[in-house]
Amino acid sequence: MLETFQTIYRRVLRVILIAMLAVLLAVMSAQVVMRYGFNSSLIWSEELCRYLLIWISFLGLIAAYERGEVAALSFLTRVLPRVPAYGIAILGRVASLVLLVTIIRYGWLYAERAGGQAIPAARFILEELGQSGPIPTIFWVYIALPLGMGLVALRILFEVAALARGLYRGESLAILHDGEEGSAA
Amino acid sequence: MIAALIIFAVVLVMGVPIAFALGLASLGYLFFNDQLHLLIGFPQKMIAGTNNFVLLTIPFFILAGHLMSAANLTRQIVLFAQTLVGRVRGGLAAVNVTASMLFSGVSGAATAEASALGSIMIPAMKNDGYKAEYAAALTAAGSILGPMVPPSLALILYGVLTGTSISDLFLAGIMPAILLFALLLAYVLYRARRDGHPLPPEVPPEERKGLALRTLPALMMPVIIVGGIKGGVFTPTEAAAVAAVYALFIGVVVYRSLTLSKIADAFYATATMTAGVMVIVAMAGMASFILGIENIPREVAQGMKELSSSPWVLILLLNIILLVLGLFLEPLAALVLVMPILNEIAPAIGMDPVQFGVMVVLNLMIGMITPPVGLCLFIVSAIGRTPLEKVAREVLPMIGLSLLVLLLVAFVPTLSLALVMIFGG
Amino acid sequence: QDVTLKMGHAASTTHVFHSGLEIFAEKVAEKTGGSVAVEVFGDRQLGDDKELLEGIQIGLIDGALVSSATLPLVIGAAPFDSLQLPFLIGSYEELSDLLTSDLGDELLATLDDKSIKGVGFIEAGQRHFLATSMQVEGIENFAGLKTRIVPIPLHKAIWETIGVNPIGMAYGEVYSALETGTIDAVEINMSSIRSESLYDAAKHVTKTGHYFWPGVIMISGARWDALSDEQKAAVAEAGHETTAEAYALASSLEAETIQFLEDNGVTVGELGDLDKMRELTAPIVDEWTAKDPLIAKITEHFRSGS
Ligand code: NA
Ligand code: NA
Repeated sequence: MLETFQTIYRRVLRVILIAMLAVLLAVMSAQVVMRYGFNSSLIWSEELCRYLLIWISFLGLIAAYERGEVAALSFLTRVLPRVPAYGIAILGRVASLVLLVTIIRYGWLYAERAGGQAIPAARFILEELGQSGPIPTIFWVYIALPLGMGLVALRILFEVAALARGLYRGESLAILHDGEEGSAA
Repeated sequence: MIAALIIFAVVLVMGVPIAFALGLASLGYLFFNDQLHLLIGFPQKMIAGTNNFVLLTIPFFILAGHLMSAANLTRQIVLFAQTLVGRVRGGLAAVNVTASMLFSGVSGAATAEASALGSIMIPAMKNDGYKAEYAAALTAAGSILGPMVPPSLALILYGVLTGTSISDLFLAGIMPAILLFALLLAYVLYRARRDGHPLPPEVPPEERKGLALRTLPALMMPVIIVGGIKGGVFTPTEAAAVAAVYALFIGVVVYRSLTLSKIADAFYATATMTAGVMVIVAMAGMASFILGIENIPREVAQGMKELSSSPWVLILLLNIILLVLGLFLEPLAALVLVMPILNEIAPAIGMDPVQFGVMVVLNLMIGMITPPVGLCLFIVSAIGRTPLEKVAREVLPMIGLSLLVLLLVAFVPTLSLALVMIFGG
Repeated sequence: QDVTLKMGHAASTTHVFHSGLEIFAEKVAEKTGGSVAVEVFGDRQLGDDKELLEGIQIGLIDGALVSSATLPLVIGAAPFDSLQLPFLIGSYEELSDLLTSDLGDELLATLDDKSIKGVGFIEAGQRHFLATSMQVEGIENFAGLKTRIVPIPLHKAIWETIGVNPIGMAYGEVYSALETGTIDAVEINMSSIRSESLYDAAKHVTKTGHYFWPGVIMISGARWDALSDEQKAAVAEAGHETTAEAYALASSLEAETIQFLEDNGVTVGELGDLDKMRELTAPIVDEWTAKDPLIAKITEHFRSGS
């Protein structure tokens, strides 16, 4: 059950990230073609691209973390004996959680307090499409941060639980280093 | 400030990701200085750190690199380097260095270069009887050529942060890169004699045929990028997107080796790698805000100026600061952090801003291959399945050679500026 | 009690925004007997305009100088568009007089409900037209020129009407884009052409003076409320005096900067049919006037005055 959920969630995440990057590439290329080829311009493109990058960065973090692409040093847990190595692995994750929870809490507060303004790019895009109606606010950009950090925090929480269980059951720490750095290529 | 540094060092060693260590240091600073009311700034500065148009070069240059690898282009470049090097003792090591030089015209970041070439060169060298840590160290050292030759993320970011001409910066990085390449090549041949490295395998004749012609489209990439920027077709940031589209084009149309699923994989890998880099840049956003509001850049610059008014001493001091920062930080994040200091100190040094930029960028790139935090070292040690400590020992002499080039860049303006005078202006 | 206000702006430390804020800092120190100190942070150390605005609102920073152009879009302070309606304001003096009058205070007061206390203005300089390859001498020369503008609705409307091809582009890329010909022109003030060395990349200035570029000196509502009544009065007075001095400074810099640019090989010319440009963009003034009562009041002020 949990595994099916994880498979689905990873697949959805993958599709979203690929799609956002594809849109990013398309918009930026279109800007070059329009300006150089047709002497016309997409006035909103610069802004839209920045927002897409924000989403890719924060939403992609969980995938990067799972793929071992978030740079970290791991030599200490490799060289220490089992119990202190477990201790440090758990402690380090708890420290990360403290940071992440702080960012999630204030990230949400920030999105709520400062997210009220309409996205200028959205206004221009709607205008060009000849549409009117409510313009999405910058809240929808800012929310990417607490959301992305939240996913990573959940994952680390599970890791802490797994480590505690491993420590209790006397398992070796090898599981920890599988995948870590290994897929950086 | 001291508490923040201690927190950073301790959690880093504990295995907390660099980005989070940077964030925890900021958090610790706010806590110990009774500034918790600034916490609301944390998300703002993280988002602002990523909300920068120029940073779009990161995903696009990474994507171009991934697409090139997916199109098997890295293999072509390695083969091409092999025919260039010929059959000499330690030939495969020389191929590694030569391929790094060729590949630098395709990749915009050292990490991309290390992972793309490493995944081919390190296993090949291991098969040929080289020690894994030597193969890994050599790949890491070669990877810093990547950002010295256009395209280059770091040079673009420097150019934008300081208002320096990016096409001039691109031209200025080439000669120092060639010099470093030559030194690494010489070192490789010396090591081959000393350690009795093997002769390289021969390139099969059927692979040789048309090899140069097939590699050419890829090697045209830097020409297209510099030409397109100079010709006013696109901006330096847009150039990254153009590079990705070009890679897509030659992968699909010229090499006919890019399938839809390979493209999707490249896009996904790009998104995750981008996130891994951007989270460091985001955390650096908060750290630099704290440094700024506490007036640290001004104080550091002031302290340096009081220490000495000689430009030589200032240059040396500055390089030492950058190297120390580079020990711990990702170069783009470090660049964002030190820019305020550089802005204060550069006038006192009076160096040409283009030369200055090449010096700063080379310096930070050396940080990519120095322990404890060298992203390129992490990558090659992971690919080579060999401990970081061993790679770090092997890479030391190569760091020495890079420092020599750095010194020459700092004190011999012609090295970086000659090409600018010829083609620039 | 002693208070330090850390105030940021997004321009470089050589920009007139920086000198303006330093004038403000001096005046505040003088009028409060040193009980309120203003510390100025340039080079975007505290953030760009948008971050500064947000920072003030969420209580992260104490104060800032922010371009008025960003206010309507970013925090919905629509009346500030009145300061950039095309050709509405004739001179630095006229604008300075308005900003130091009750109408200026009324304009600043529209920020009150956004947790921002506006206390004065600093001028970056009247905007003109800088082109790379040709001297724009008549309105027909604008046609199709790829021109970098600030992507806000008012400016977009103005420049589309004039006939250029408006380009949105990060400010940091403007120099290289001009140098390489990615864009043909930029609408900008003289002091920025000088401080950003844009004159190296483009040599043709047309003195259109289409609108001004005021920055608003603002203090966070929370920090303001914590000041004593005497301190508030002193800071407000410092703000008014700074506005007058900053406008005089900007006005005197204009001539000096033009001289500098001409010495560096820049052709500074006039637009032969400026009246046509004025006529062409007049409907935009009407359109915006209809949007907001305070804009209408300010438009009325200038139209009846001149
Ligand atoms: Na490169
Ligand atoms: Na390092």
